[in-house]
Amino acid sequence: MGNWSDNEILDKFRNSETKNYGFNLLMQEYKQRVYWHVRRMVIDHEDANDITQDIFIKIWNGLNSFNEESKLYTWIYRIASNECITFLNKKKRMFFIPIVNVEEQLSAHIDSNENFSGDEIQKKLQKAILTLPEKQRLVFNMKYYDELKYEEIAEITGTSVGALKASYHLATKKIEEFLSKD
Amino acid sequence: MSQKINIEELKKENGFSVPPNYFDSLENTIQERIHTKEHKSLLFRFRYPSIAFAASFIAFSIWLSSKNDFVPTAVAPATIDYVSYVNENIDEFEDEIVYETYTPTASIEVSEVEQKKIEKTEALDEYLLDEGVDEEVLLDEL
Repeated sequence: MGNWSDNEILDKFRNSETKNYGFNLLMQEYKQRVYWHVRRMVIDHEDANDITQDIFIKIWNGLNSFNEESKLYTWIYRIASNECITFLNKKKRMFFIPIVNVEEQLSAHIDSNENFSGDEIQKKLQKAILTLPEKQRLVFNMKYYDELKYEEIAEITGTSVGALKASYHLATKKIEEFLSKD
Repeated sequence: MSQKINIEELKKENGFSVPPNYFDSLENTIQERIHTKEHKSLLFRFRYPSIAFAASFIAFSIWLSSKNDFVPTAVAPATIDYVSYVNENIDEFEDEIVYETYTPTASIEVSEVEQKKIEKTEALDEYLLDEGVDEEVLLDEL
């Protein structure tokens, strides 16, 4: 987290004179987290860029009605997660491709040098994560990379903590098996 | 023989790359998109009433000037007011209307055609609003 609390950002955004400033603070605070959350789901940079921009436009349009029942970042993560799932579903519908082909397509992006600069084990890990169903992939990424607590992920996904723990455990097992294969 | 890998022992970096300075320009790109959308939205709301107002003013001025008992000094301020109104709100007018306004040969027939076009547009707007069509979706189609 940076220098500004969510409450300070919200106060600035809700004041018409400092609305733009408040929104800039919000973007500074969350742009990288949102982008990487999206990028790990859609793999391609151009897609991640478009979706990230759309997410922040949605945040701009919806922030006035944000009721603070949840924390700001869980609300943002929820929007981002929904946008990713919507994008992936649209992609499948648009090209009438069965799910396995979308995964293959995403996996091919990982092989492209312009998209990926990590080492072989990181590449293999990303490909292993792609073998998971989308929602399990979301949960795995939030727990493994963003290191969110199960309670926070539960708030974002609307799933029980118990189910999330089970999902993460199974995902880890599947990934480790994939990585252990030659 | 394959080796058992524990993912908690791996570096938690995802390995993806982004173009240089990507995050530095992201805020500006998003702000531009937001303000372009809002500008379009404002135009949608205010352009048609302004055009209707301007066109009816042109028609009224031309009708007045065609009258035999017309007193030139009485209409002069109104014409000047209209020109300054257009100048102040130039962004709200379509080019076509601005050209017509400043063309001395602008005729009553042209204004009538324009008026009909506006009535049709207003009827369409009302229909769309009644049908609850999303303004943002419409603007994206433009």
